[in-house]
Amino acid sequence: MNALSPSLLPVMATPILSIKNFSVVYPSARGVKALDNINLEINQGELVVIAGVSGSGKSTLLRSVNRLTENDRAQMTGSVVFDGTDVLNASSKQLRQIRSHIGFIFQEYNVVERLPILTNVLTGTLSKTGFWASQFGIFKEENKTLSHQSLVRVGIDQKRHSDRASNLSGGQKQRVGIARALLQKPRLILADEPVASLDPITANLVMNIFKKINEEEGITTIINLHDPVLTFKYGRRIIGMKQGKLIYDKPIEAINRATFEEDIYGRPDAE
Amino acid sequence: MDGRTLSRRGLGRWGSWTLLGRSLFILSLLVAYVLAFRAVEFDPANILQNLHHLRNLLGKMYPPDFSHFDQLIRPLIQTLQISFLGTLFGALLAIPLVAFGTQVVIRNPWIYWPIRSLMNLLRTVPDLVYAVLFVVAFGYDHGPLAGMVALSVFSCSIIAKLASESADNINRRPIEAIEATGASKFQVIRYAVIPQLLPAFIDHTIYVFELNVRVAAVMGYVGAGGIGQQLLTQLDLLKYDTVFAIILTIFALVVVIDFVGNRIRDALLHGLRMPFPVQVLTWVALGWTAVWSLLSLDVNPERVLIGLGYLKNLLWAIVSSPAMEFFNISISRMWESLLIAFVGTTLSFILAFPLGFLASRKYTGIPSQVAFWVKQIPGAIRAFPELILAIFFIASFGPGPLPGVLAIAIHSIGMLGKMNAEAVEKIRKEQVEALQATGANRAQVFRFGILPQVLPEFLALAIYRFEINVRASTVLGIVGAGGIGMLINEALQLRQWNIIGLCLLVIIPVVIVIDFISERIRRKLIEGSHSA
Ligand SMILES: Nc1ncnc2c1ncn2[C@@H]1O[C@H](COP(=O)(O)OP(=O)(O)O)[C@@H](O)[C@H]1O
Ligand SMILES: [Mg+2]
Repeated sequence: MNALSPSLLPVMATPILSIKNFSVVYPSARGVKALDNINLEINQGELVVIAGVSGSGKSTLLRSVNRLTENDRAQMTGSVVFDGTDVLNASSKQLRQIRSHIGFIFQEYNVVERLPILTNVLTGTLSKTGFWASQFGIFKEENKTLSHQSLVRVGIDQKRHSDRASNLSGGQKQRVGIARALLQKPRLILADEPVASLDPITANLVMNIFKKINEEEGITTIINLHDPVLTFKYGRRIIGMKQGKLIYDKPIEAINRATFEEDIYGRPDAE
Repeated sequence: MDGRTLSRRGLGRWGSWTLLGRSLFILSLLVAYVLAFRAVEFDPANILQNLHHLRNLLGKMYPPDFSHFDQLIRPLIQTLQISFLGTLFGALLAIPLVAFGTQVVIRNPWIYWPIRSLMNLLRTVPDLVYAVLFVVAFGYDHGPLAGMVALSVFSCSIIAKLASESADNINRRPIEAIEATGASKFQVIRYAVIPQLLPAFIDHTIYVFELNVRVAAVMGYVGAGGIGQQLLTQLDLLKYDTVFAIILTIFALVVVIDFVGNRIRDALLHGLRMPFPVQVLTWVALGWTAVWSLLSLDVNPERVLIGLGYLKNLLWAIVSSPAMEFFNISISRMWESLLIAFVGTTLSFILAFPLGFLASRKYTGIPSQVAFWVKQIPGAIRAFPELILAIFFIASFGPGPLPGVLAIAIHSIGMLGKMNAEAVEKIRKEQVEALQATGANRAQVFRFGILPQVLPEFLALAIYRFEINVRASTVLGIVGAGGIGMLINEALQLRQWNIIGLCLLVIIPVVIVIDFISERIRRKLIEGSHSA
């Protein structure tokens, strides 16, 4: 414990994200819970991977943290507290505030194809941009500079920054998505299957970007993955989900490699 | 590189403009619009002041007088017969043009380019100008026949254009596969091209039939048969209640035809295969309708040939010695037509913008019943031909460009509202969520997540509509709604055909240039600029 600087101690004491007795039901699911009584605490600076087969509730969990689940009219019960703020009871203004502190990265990249790459990244600063300035597309010079820098950092060449985002490859779009999240100066990064649509080489490149951001800036990061190899390679703490329940939660050091896949995904012939 | 040059290179055109530059640009745009609105006599105060004329007119029209409905039945049937035969012959004429006008099978530019040029040339002439030309050539005694031939040429131009665009986009692989077997050109066409193209061809043909019913309904106005002639007579007699009855009849006809046509086209689109007996029945019914229409319109090949011969001489005479003394006036009238189309299209763009969102439940969250009814508005509006709207507004506001603007603005909402709603339906939820996730507010999500997904489409559609409206605004003047059509009307009254020749010489190049520029802009809007 002596190695820890004193300033980190109080932060360690209060988790940045704390989820209690949390359940989610989609209206079309006839009462079946997409998430079933989840209890979870994430501490400042952690790099967490959530693993599980598709349909196990990984996306629902991440999308609940910034209430994107509302777009699917999901019913949420329990509590989600981000950085001391109650997410589920936040007013729409508070919710925007919360969202501005969370960088969210999507499987399908979710860049606005018709906008230039740079503008896509600049949308990360919208919560701090005034009404008229944003309607006329006027951004602060310092933010433009930051956007260029962060694009270059994730590996998008300077001379492409004014191209439409639709001209990019999948891996490049995902990097734009990451750069956009970085412009938010996030306290937490949530990435929902960020590499599921990418080839193995590109997937590793993108995962390394997350790893670097986490190590260099200490930004807390939660990544959903369905691939066991990547999960084991990048996760510092691994959480397993199955049918809406949390079934596994261990730091990487405590994981038994031999049984890990079976513990989380189950035996293929068991069903 | 410092931050300034970085962002200058980074944000590209609009984004890199200074605030002053943007303000100046918007200001000059506004000034241009104010001038254009003044030029077409669009003055809101004046419109409001004259609103009571419109109310009076509506009062005289209501209730509609259907007591002479029995006299409408024959012209109504004639309208349908003219549209049917016009579409049929148009489709038949279009087949060779499509076959040789695409580079799918025949890749010889010496064949391809002349045919493409002919197709584009045919398409520049507005529908009613065809009607005028053929009525003059065939004589007023043969109005319905002239109308049918005019519609055939008009239909041919549109079907050929649409079908050759479909042909350009067909899948080349099956063609290569058949070619690879050593098949001849005709075998390739028979086994790889026709099966792919036939559904689209039939779709375009039915669509053109829907268009033709609207045109045929008003073509009588220039003497080309059908119910339009009745409309003209009753208007001259100022019997507005009977006029309203005729308008409602045309409306009902168009709505029914559109409904049936849409159903069939939808079914075709979803790959409906008719059972063999139904196919046979359909062909028999179509053949029987054709024969019946030919007989009752008294279509006589000899008469058609004589008419075409006369048309050739007429065209040669009027185009080789156009009434150049009217050149200046024709140019200023053409300019007025362009302004009418420009202002009318702008207004309909503004009106159709919210309509596109209201007709789609996706991002407005309005109740589904409301969305359903909003969705019906464009279809209903589209069923009133521009010419009838123009006549209505002329009766309220007097002749001039304003009725033309209003007619175009309202009629265009039909297509733009419908197509905008389709663009809104295609909005990708993922791109919207990305904006929500950054903590942006609703206005910002709209500006950066939704607008970029639909605005290029909305603009491209409006620009495409502008192409169509330029053609419309050149002919609306025939009923008194401003622009170069007024000159055509005067020429008709004075029987000075070489003025019509001059008008053709002015309209055709202008339309060609506008089509060309419009296509460029539309492509740029949708595909965006590639800066490598
Ligand atoms: N928008 C939705 N509407 C209804 N059910 C949904 C929706 N999204 C997810 N579900 C259901 O919730 C469960 C969890 O899904 P999800 O969170 O997407 O899992 P994962 O991301 O692990 O694949 C699944 O049973 C899925 O079918
Ligand atoms: Mg998922």
